[in-house]
Amino acid sequence: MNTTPNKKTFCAGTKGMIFSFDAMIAFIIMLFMISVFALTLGNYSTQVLAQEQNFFLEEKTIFVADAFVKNYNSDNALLGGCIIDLDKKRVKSNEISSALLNNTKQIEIEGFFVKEAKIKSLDKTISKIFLSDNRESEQCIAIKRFVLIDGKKALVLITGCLIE
Amino acid sequence: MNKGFIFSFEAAISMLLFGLMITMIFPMQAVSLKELIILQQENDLLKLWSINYPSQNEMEIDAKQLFSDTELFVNNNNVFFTGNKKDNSVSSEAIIFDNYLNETKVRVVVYFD
Repeated sequence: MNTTPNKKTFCAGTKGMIFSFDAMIAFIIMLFMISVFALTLGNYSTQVLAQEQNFFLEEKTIFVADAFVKNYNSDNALLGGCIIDLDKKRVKSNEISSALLNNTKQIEIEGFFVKEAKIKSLDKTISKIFLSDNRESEQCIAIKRFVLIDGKKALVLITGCLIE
Repeated sequence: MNKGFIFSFEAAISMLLFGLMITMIFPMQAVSLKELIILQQENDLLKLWSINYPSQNEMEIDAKQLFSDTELFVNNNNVFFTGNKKDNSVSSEAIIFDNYLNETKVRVVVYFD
């Protein structure tokens, strides 16, 4: 009886897929690392966006509060509520005129608005909310500044918010 | 023929991932304008004191309206200290002249986290 052995013949010219256990582990580890990296990158970008928004809010509120206590603006007291000495042609910074506060208008800058602006003297004789906005916002910041209003020491509180 | 440096595609990906992971180890620094706000508030105090020439007690009351952790020096003498000393601080100094041109050196130090 003539039998031929059932043997696979090796053909050097054929490229096959080499699969080994260690290659599989390496592949799984690689996939895991890529997924961890993608997840971390996502969290990182979310944090950066939140910080950018917070910085924008802080910056604009500081600028508005500083403009109020350092400038004179007859059109809008929120941008300058100080007394002006016309003889000396000089703005008296940190000295607020209560008469100017009646002429206060809202300002909006690229999604930022002033929710509330109020002033309260330390002896409690003057207490005035000179700007109030009813819009709701969860991202707000308040800046406190120390001024003189009609010669009395007072605290100004400017609350800035982001439009949602 | 000299042997060259072999840099495989897998090695490039591994190095890239390694580099990116190292950059993520360092925490992101929080950007804040807190120091600027404190500096402006300190300047408010000094500006008003240069107009009113208050007593040291009044200075203490004014400073407490704005800051919880603060220290005040008048002519290099510690006048008062409230709160706790913390890791960071912002200091402002001014020389105030009264109506009789008497000189007073005032320094406000504010501590914050």
